[in-house]
Amino acid sequence: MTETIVYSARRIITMEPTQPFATHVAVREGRILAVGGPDCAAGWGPVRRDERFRDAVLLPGFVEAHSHLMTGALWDYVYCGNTDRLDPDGKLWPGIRKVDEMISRLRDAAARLPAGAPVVAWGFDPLFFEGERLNRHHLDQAVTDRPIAVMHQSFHLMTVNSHALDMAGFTPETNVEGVPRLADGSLMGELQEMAAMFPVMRRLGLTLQTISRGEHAIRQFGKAAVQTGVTTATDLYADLADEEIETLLRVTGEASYPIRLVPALGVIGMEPKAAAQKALAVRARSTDRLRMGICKVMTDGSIQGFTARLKWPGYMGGQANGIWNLEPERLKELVKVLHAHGVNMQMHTNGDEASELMLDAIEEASLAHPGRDHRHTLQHCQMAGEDQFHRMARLGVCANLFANHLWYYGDAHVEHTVGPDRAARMNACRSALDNGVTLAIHSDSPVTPLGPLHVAWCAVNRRTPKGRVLGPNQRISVHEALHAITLGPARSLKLDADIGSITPGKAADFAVLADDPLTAAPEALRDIPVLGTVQGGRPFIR
Amino acid sequence: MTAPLPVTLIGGYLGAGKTTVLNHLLADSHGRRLCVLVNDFGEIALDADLIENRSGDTLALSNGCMCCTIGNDFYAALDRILRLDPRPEHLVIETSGVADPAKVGQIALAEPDLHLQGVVVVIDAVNFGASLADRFLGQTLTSQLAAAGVIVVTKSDIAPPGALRALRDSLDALVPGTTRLVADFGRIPSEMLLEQLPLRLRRAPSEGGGHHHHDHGTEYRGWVWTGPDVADPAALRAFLEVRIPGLYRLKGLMPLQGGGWCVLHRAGAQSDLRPVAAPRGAGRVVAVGLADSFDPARLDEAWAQVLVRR
Repeated sequence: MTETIVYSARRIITMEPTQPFATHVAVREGRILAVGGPDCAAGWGPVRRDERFRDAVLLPGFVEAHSHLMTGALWDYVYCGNTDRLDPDGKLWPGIRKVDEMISRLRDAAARLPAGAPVVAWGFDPLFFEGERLNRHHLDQAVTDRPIAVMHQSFHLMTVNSHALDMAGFTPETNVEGVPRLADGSLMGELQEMAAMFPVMRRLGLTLQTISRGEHAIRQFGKAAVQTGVTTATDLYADLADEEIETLLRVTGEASYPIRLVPALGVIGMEPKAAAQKALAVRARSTDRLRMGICKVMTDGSIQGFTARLKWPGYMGGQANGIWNLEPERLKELVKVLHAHGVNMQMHTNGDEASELMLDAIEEASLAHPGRDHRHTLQHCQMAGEDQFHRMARLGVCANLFANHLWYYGDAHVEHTVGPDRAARMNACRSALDNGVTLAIHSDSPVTPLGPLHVAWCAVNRRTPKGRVLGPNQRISVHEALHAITLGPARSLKLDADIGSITPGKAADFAVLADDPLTAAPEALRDIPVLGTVQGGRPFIR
Repeated sequence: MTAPLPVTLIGGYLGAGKTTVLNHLLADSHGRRLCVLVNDFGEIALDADLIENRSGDTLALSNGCMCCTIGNDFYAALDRILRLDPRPEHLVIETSGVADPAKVGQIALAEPDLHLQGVVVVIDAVNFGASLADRFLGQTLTSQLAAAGVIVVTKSDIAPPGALRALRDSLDALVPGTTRLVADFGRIPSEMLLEQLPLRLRRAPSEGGGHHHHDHGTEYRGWVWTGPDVADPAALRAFLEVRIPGLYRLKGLMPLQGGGWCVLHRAGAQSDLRPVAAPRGAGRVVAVGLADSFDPARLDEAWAQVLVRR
């Protein structure tokens, strides 16, 4: 007979209304057998008691419903972010806030690489960097015998050394958008947006594709998830070529693979019917730890990049409205066909005009095929107002809001993009819940760091680095925020029959925390240490 | 170091006729080894006998041209093309219906191995007005037009007169200085798309010594002839003097009856005819005329007088 293990904990927060809290959980065959007190499994035969979580607090395993696989293998490059972070192997990398620290980290990295090999760094955020803006002269102090490329946290910019500029053929005569100069007229070394970065990237052999797929990327992603309490994570734009699926099946099928991976098939550029058929075909190949079948639809760009599609009055600085990734009529057709085939869509919509278009499209698609529990989800959906949340509720559309943006870009939104009033209602978690919309919140890792507790902290506090509280009326409680990183996203991915809460029958997926988020100060939510996870009954303790 | 690869962008909204324009470009015997980068092969309906072989994301054509799909990563596709040996002579990129060609053009400006030759934006006379008025689309269209070096107008033969008038008014208001080409059945002589046409059109009159009032916002129509025939030298000289209303510029390379080749030019009242070394391929003559007054049939007629069947 299969073994039953009863774990004790300081407290178990279940996210279930019937029994919100417990102290013990019984696990059998990777699933939750019983929840309650010490004797919760008394009627189920002999048990083995496991006290390893005695002092810890257990939550449902966190569900990151908007992340990308490259999160893990990105650590193959040199981390240059401002906060202390753990890499997938649990090694602590202190944050970098000064030029000197940057120089020594890059120099150390160069020393570990073969002669001449480029040094590539990531995670740099000029917003949190002391002193003048990073330029090539700073990087030249690290090494001059090889190229250096420091990717910014946003991935839209990079700063490179003089060696890299030379390789790319940039000269003092270069006069291209996105290649700024220093006060003396010489090139600064910063390259803004892909067009300007491309000449450096191709000469350095730097493509994000290589860290976005393959065995190593899949493994590293799993390990990175464990560090942050995540047991189910999406890769929210996957090609899912046959060969890639084989690799995904093999690696996620390994006994030690620690997460349930949910790749979303990127369908932009695909013929709608072919996209639907592919989604259904890959869905049929799903396993417990590899859930395929959902699709990702891209609509607009980003707000901070002024490429999101905004309703009137648009951008504060009078910038032109943003871009569509596909013609609106083709987007609508895509939605119509995928909906008709019963395929769930995760729709990237940053600006409120983009979310409007997708709500129009879903409404039209629903006329032809009504009554479906489709769980289409607006991803980011950062600017939706009350009207759109109300409409989402009526159409059965879920929201996965980009709460981390409030911290990482909140001040910029107040000062540069949309102004204080619309910034105050960005990622309006309160409105979503009050209108009855299924709510998830996310990091879009690696765009902002993976870490559901940080995301929850943002939704609870809505603080910015400059000390603003953006829209205090849109704050939600800690319990609501925890729901939005567990059961909420499980629902939006239509996985809530299996995961998202701690109740008999669901997978034994837990986030193991060192402290109790419901009794800790709400301001300290993001500082609660994550000790590890249990996934499908398998402990992964850091 | 090899010379940078010239790049021409072909933009315009869905249904405007980009694909037809690209089709003609690939099938036309212009003698260049073009590489055309498109979103999807499926839409390009190339003649089966033109396709030499197909492998994955690349179609090789019997005329030396090739057609590649962008796939999931535009930059990777671009990098792949830049690594081709031998490199194509000219890269034509079909930008998506919602792309701002100015942004795509930045890539060719920043990358030293590329040279931005021109930006062509295709609009269709039938649907342009409705698209411009669409709240989700209007600004996408105006930014495309703003980026255009040349605007190609398709479907003007089937557009109701009111629509055509409204289109001209819109273009006069939005992009008064941009040259327009009227594409008959989506067909434009390749030279008008691949060479730095607006510059040529503006330069041509000053070669004649005077200011030309057609510098801005004028509509042109193209004409092209290519074939195995040779030219009667005397008839050719006479042809260069024939009055053809609206003809703006004409140039060509022709084999002559009795041997040898010539290059011919005509710009306004100026013309020129001189011997040249034999090129590869057949004779070819291209002309541009003012859309309102130039009748390609009239030129066909005059040109027919020159030809001697071989």
